[in-house]
Amino acid sequence: MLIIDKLNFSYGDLQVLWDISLEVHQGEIVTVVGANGAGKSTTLKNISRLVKPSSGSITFLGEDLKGLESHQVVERGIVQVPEGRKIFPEMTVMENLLMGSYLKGTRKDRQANIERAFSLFPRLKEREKQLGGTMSGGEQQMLAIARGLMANPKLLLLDEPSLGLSPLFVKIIFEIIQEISRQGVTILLVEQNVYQSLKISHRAYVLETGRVVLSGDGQELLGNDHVKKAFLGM
Amino acid sequence: MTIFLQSLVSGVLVGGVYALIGIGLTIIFGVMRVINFAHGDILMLGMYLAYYLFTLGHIDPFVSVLLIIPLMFLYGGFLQKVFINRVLNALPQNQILLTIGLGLIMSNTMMLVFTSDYKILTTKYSSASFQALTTIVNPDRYERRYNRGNALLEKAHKAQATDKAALYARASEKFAEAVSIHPEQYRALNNWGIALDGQANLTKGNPADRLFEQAYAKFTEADKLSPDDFDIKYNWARTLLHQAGQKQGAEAQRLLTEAAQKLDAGLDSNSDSVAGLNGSALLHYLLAKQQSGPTADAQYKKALEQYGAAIAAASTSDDSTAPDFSGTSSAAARALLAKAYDAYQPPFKAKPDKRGAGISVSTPLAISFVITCGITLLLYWFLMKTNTGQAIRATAQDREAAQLMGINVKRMSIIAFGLGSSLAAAAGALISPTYYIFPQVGSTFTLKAFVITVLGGMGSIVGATLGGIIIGVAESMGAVYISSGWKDVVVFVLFLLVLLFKPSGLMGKSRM
Amino acid sequence: MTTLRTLFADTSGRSTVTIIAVLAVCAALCTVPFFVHNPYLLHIMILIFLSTIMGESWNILGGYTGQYSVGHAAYFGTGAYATMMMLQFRQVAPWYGVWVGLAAALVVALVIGSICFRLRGPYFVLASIAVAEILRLCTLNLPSFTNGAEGILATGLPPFTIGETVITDFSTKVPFYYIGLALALLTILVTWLVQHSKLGYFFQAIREDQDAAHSLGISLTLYKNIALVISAMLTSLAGSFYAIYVGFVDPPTVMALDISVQIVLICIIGGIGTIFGPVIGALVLVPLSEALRSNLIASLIFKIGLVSPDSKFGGFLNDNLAHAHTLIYGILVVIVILFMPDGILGFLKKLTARRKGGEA
Ligand SMILES: Nc1ncnc2c1ncn2[C@@H]1O[C@H](COP(=O)(O)OP(=O)(O)OP(=O)(O)O)[C@@H](O)[C@H]1O
Ligand SMILES: [Mg+2]
Repeated sequence: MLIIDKLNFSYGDLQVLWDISLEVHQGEIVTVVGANGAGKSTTLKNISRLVKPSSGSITFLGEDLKGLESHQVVERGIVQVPEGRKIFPEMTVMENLLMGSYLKGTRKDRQANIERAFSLFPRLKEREKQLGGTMSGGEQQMLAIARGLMANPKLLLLDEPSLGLSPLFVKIIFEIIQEISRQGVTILLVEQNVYQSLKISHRAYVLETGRVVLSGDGQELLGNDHVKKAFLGM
Repeated sequence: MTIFLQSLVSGVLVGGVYALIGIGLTIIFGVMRVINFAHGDILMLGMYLAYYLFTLGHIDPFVSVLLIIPLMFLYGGFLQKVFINRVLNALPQNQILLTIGLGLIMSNTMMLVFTSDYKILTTKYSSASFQALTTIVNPDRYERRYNRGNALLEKAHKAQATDKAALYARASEKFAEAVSIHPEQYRALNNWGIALDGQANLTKGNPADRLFEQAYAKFTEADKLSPDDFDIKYNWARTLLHQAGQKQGAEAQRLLTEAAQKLDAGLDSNSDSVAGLNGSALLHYLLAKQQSGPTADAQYKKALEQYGAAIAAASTSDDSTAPDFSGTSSAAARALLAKAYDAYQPPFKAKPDKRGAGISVSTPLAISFVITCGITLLLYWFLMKTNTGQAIRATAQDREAAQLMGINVKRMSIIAFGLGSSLAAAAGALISPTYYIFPQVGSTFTLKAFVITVLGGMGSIVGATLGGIIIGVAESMGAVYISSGWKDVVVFVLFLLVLLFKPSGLMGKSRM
Repeated sequence: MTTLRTLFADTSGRSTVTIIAVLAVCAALCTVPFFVHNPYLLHIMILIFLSTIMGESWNILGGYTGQYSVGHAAYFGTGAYATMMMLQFRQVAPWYGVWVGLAAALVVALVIGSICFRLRGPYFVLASIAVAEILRLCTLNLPSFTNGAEGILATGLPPFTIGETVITDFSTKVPFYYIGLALALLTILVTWLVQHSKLGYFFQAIREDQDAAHSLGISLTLYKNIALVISAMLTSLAGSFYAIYVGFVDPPTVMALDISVQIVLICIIGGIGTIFGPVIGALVLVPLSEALRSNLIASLIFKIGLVSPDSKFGGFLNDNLAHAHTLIYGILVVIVILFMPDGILGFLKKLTARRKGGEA
């Protein structure tokens, strides 16, 4: 579905991604793990074309994304839930959700999508009229995911959805990710929570200082010595 | 109290237009984080559009606004697409300089095409006003005396010579009582001056001089209270003319000169008053007769000019132009004026102000305020309720997140700049009947727009609306209670105080 | 510290060359009045010097320290007014009046600094404009002190004497030429000294990242104010020079926002944060805008035969093109910002670097 081939990227003179190659297949949950500053978010930004790669190609459903603007990538069905949630602070929960289905093609499903969001996150329904900026961190994370789902994504890019959440919330979030996946959405997940995410993912990649150093089956990587040492503290 | 209310009302009315300017700037800043230094110049373009649509197309500025808004929307969108979008990621300084450059190009191009002459758009209602809140002023005691004075004054004008003096004296008395009740009522002061002038005119020698001096004092005070009032200056000039009629030589010349100065100053704001132009022509003609050489020639020239303008203003058809006397020689001018003014004394009638006490509201400002409210409400609706409006707000709140929602932020920027420009230009069109129009007028408004947006909090629309009104009121209060020269200082000091102590603005929010 | 040393190490060779070149140009400029007698050409040279002084002065605060003041008319006007008021109201010769101007600019700068340096970025820009406007409005509204809107007209300069000998009576443009040249060289020298001292290093640190500079122990308030004071005093010199050269000051010509903007543009167009940027800016802007002002461009258009001077459009150009000399500022700044963000100097450097790169 998504094929990244030899992607290189620099912020000015500082190269942060080196020959990244990565694939996501239809229906999968694929996880990218790596230490802080490894380049995970940057990879997602390249996919969403918030930044433009210096070389290499990204293809989605057979189409090269080269030359597209970010909003066109969303039109193709790639939706990112960014790191740090990025809720619109001066808009209500409802308005935030509606912005999620801003694109023309998704507006007809608005009502159904809102219902789905509320059934996944009943908490949001209670706070429909609250301003986004005044919600708690965990609530904002729920809202961010719900907002992402409003656009009927084919591929959902989740950047550290469990960041800063209490263990209970983390558990709920991972359950919801699996639920979303069961509803037919392909997921590319970036996580620091290596154990949880590898457990639910079909395949995974390990990123170190901008390079893919390991890849494979989720369960398999959980047993990998390097992964154990570097991320699981074992 | 009346003065306070008067300046409050005119401040709020002007403030409405200021709000429009501020909202335009704040939308641009909110979405692009670019401070638009060309904002006032875009407003200037709006003024010129309104001016030419009026003079060439005979479209009233309050109607042409509907044309100017979409036109300047396209223009703003064009500026964004071609220039501003390229520097969105550049240093803020460079963005500022780019807009400064664009503003310079706009104002200088206009200067090239239309020269730097001041233009005045005079509509039928340019200097019209109406009374509001008449009941606020103590209606009983004041109004009774004021009305009585007016009636006596009218009677005196029509009365036989033998009764005139007594009637004028009684009118003076009534106005004096009225003024003692409401010392700030410039109408009563003005009419008092007329009554005193009437008395003086019927007297001679020292007593006459004393009365003329009293009248002069009344007009001075009335003029201070209502500096833009044409009628006061007109009556003042008339009194000076009468006094000059009782004098000779240098003294007469001094009085005539002062009269001409007063009347011409009044004509600045009311350039189409037939009586005024006629009076001015007469004054300059009389002055010319007192002088010789080039100074006399200059006076003849000025007198002819005013005479021509009076003829043009008096004719009812729209397309008549002033007779062109530019080539007329001094001697010919003299003959022409002698025929017009020596043969018979033209009517230089007093203009008692019969409007009741209360607050006078400038008609064009009131109309523009209503239109401003309409535009603002429409804008709120657009931003809060439509998809595109919401997308603009989303872009302002978080550009990157907006992109991830599939919003084309470049397009939103174009729309935002277009909106900002059309609001500035609309403000320009709305104030065109009450302001001088010239290519450099923009920078004043750019500065005002900054003050307004910072006051309200950069990027906040509600803040800009409030900020506009606060600045409007601060200006008009400053002009009345301090002086018109210092009113801008008041505004800038307010601006600095807000910058220093509440940089997020009075609304405390920095987002749309 | 190492960065400083390496900085000197690899520029020392180049800077000797530059110094020799500068000295040669200076010598050449000193001889100009001996064979150029056309007062108009001298006038243009004087304007170039004046613009250089203004641009270099702003550069120290805006270019090196990164504080974009758009209110430098305040200091220009302070210098101009102080000198003129001393001359006309107190009969003090301008070469003493200048010192009053400098002192006044120092005070004004410290007051403005204490207000504006609490703010950053666009807020600083806006505050600097507001303060300059307040100063202009005060000048306008205090006629008993400043002569208000009428301005001050110099009725004559006393001759400049040393002992008994009259050095000059200012009857030609030549003395102004040398004063302008000397002041321009002085500001360039000051800029050079600033750039090659610890001060310049601190200034640039503040420009690059205020917070980082602060965390390194550089006092923001102190160094920003030092930069402002140097910049303001040099600008005040420019104002004094302008006042005695033109012989007339009034609020719109020496204190208006336009002046502040022009000062910034000289620097931006030439190249910000470089020693010779403002010189380039002055060299480009002054002749261009003078050519427009004096109708040279219009007559050139006629000469080429693009437009006939007798046609309606030709007449229009003849009458109006002269009014549009600031149009050139607008056009140039737009071109520079869009296509050469480092100014003309930076653009030329890049071009030559590319050519060298191509050859290698
Ligand atoms: N806008 C930027 N400009 C310059 N460098 C940047 C920028 N954004 C990120 N970087 C650098 O790029 C590298 C990769 O950053 P990235 O955000 O992709 O890391 P990450 O893997 O997502 O880390 P984390 O787990 O902390 O989110 C880091 O060294 C970071 O400092
Ligand atoms: Mg990250």
